[in-house]
Amino acid sequence: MASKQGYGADLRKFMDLRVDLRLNAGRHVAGVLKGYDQFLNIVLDNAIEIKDGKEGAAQNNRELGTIVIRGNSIVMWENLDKVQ
Amino acid sequence: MAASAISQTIGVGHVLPLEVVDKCIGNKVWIMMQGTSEFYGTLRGFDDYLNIVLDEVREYQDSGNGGKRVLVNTLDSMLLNGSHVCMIIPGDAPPPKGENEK
Repeated sequence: MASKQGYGADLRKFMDLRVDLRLNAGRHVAGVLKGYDQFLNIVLDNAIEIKDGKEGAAQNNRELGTIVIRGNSIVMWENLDKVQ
Repeated sequence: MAASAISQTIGVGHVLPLEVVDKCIGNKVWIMMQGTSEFYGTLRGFDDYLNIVLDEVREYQDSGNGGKRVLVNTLDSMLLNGSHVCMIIPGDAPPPKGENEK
């Protein structure tokens, strides 16, 4: 599981799993991880923007589809699906 | 359209984020910044820093949770600094209209 210097995080274990990301400036999104690069820029599929912090309150969510997130703005990462 | 091109890229497996942005060139995109600004326009190009060239741009201020969304500006062409870009959303469906928009 060691990663070489300069390669960034190894997110292969998280591919195709649902993740919940908190971003800079209070934004909160969830989606399926479809890709990433060495800067932690992320591709999410079936993404939703969660408002009011409650994913269950569906009327507050915006569906976004497939999105790219700049790695610089990711503050916290939660895996919603169990990691093998 | 953009959505099917992007889905095909994703079907392959591991997708580079900049590849997805590359697929959007020529199409409408919705850029969310780290604050409350959002830009909706046609993507003309970008670079490794995610600096972005947009045409036919509408700039919105969105005050977040349940708040107001206002159209602030329209521009024919702009260069957007990538350092505060937060999300890039390929835009087959345009974002909600501002309160002051017709």
